[in-house]
Amino acid sequence: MDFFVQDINMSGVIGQKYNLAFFASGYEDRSLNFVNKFTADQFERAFIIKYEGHHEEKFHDILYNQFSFINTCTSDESIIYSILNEYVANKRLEKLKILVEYSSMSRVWYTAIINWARFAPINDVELSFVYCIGEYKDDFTPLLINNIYTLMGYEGSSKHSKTLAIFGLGFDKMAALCVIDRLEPDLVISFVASTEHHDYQKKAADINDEFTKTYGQNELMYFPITSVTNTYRLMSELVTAYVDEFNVVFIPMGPKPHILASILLSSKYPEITQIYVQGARNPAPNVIPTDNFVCTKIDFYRD
Amino acid sequence: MSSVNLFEIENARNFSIQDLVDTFVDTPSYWKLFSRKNHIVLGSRGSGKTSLAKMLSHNHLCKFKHDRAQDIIQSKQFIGIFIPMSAEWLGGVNNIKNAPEQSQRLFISKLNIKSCKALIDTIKSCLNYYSVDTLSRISSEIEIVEKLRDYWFPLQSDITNIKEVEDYLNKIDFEKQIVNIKQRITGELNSHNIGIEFDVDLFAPLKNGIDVLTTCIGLEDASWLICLDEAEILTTDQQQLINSYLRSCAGNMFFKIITMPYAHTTRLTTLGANLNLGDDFEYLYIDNESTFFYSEYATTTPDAIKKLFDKRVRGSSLPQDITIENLLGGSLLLDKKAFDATPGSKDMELFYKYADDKTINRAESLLSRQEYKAFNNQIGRKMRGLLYLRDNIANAQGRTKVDVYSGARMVVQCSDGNPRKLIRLFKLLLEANEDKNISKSSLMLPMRKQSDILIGFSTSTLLRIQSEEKIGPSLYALLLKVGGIMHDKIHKAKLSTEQTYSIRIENDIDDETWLMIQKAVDNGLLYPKASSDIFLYKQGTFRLAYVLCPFFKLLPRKGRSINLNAILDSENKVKKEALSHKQQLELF
Repeated sequence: MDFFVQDINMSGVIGQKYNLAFFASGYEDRSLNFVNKFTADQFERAFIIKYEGHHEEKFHDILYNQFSFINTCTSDESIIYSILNEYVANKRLEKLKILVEYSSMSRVWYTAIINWARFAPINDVELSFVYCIGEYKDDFTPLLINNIYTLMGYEGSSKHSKTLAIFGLGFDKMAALCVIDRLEPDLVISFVASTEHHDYQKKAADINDEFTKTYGQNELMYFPITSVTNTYRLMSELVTAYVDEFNVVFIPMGPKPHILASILLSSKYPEITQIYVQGARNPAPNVIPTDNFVCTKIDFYRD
Repeated sequence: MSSVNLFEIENARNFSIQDLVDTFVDTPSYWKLFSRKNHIVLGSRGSGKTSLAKMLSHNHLCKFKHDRAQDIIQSKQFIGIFIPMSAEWLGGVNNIKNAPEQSQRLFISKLNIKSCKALIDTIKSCLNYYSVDTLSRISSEIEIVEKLRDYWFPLQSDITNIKEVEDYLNKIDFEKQIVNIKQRITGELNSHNIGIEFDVDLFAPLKNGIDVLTTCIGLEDASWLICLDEAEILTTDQQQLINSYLRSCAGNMFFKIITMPYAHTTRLTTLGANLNLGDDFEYLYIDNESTFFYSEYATTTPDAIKKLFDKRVRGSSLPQDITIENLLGGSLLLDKKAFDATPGSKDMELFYKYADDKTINRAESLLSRQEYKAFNNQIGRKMRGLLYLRDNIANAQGRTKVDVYSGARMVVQCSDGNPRKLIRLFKLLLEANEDKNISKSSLMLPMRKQSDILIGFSTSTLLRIQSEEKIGPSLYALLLKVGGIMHDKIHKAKLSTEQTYSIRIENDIDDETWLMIQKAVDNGLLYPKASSDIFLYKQGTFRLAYVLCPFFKLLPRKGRSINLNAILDSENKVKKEALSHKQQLELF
């Protein structure tokens, strides 16, 4: 199965009909933002994935009778595979269209949807990923790491003797330093999100100054937050220079469009490892939604 | 000369063979590992565990110019195999949730493939070392590959050399991942035939490979040292599987398991009997070795530190003859210097200013009897550094800055004998000089600058513990409290000869606090006063890491201990409040 990545705008999503839609509930205001733009008849089946054991999800106030609620923990994706397998069972589908609103979604869940598309029993799967850019009003409290592991399906290869770690950095100063102590890579490249707001880039660079000075062999790189396609292309160019010599490990800790781009890159280069640093903040920051959306269409097809 | 700047490299995992051999410093612990015993090697992050393990492997040992090493290689007494494990390698196994049997099968299969890949390095090294000429090397290689084929890939008759064996192992490792994800997606455990020769008992393919090498190279009398690096990433269930090998006496295979002090979390086996310390294995704790410290009376740089520094300088663009002393100078607080008991001297001025009455009375009694040597041993030697530290901090206001965290001995002491910390500090100190046109005479970095760097390094080391798994914020708060108490004893009270630098743990400590202590030890923020069985019990004496001394404005040296419960009684309320906050999962 190969795939094609394309940036689309909101009109390419709103008003479209989908076989399936996946949303996630969450404690951020952002998790409310996108679902209101749809009517339930746009989806044959729609699911809201809830964080098991959490009781502060904003979705409780939105009673969509047409939505099915799924309770699962952030590290378990098996129920998503079950839903997808069940949906396509005994159907003769030419094409399956799935909407994924991933602004508040655990990466384990949306990675599962991509994984399923990679190995799907049908010829053509169209995934539309939608992300609402958020605004962070306050400084973050330090990220408390719960677990560091590789994403299912993206374990990659360790055939080379040297490792390149590519860190996607966010606004957390200490977590990346903690992670690199465990991975002990030979070479480190780091990037942050570039946005229209220069303050954002400067803040990200300042926060990560110690990391880049201590470990960075290159200058900090900037990848656009608003275009998964461009980020994917830039990451591809970066990786091709190293993948024949290094075990390449991605540790994206920044915004989700970058995570999505790096997961897609690992789908193209299966030797790349995707590391997931799962953690918590206390208190968790409330992310305020903006009117800026990042929409990405990914067509999986068989040759 | 190496093609890389060795100041960029902080851990042995990334060294080339020659780099590591050139920079390696042998220690008593290292030679202990050459024995027909199972060892669990314990050390905090960056303590040099991987160096030890790698240097046991045949391809490193044969390049080590040391009589004992060469004797081992030539006599074929021990053959070491280094098996690197890593979080990214094992992650695919550990993220299989709710399917323990599938996870265990995948772990065994992956470790079998990994250990066979490690054996390939040993085979290459043995072929290169023990073959008398090229022709015999080639014929041995062909023979080995043919015999390995029977065990590892009976259907792959087109594999004829070691490189192809290596490629095949990489290929099946990768293909098994794809099978695994497909099984996970479909929920069906379809049978497959990819690398099924490795879906057998743990280490069985390795043992078969060892038998092949033994026969073809003539290693019948060799003992095999199987070094498993980074075992701290293993789950308890995975450790249990490996423990079973330690328990069952695996013939001439002896395991050297490299992990962090409290990361060997179980002595259970799958055989119905626990591992016995002493009978089945021994702990080897390497943090407390004095290799990378100045001894109290040393007047020159210890060889190990000099070697570490010099070898890295050789890989850099720095003047090749610079020394640590050129770069850092002496240490006001730590260099051995007799207390000047002359009335009116600076030493005596500070003594009368900061010492408590009892100590002043003792001093005056000794000095009045002209017992200068006793005075220096009992009081002067112990207090001089403290007095200058207290005074320097008291006067550090406005533009006057702290400058006493400087000098070669101070920098080395603040690295806690931990090579990775030491290299990081060297790197920071040298980078601070990069704007200068470096020459040997002008190299010394100003004391204030050195102090700034040490304090910054100390602060960063403490702050990053906040992100440590599960207990980061609580541990951070605990260390702040402990360090704060030690700080106050030096800077807010009159001074005596005895200062508190350690905490004492009794076995009535609660599990959560004990977990914090364990994590602090694993991360090199506390160091236990170690005995061979210290890691079996929930108690002990732990000194605060010297690396934290610049942050807390302490003197990096040993001292008295304080019972942690006494600290926690006042701290408990704060701790409980910190832990009661609901933890929200981070979503990206």
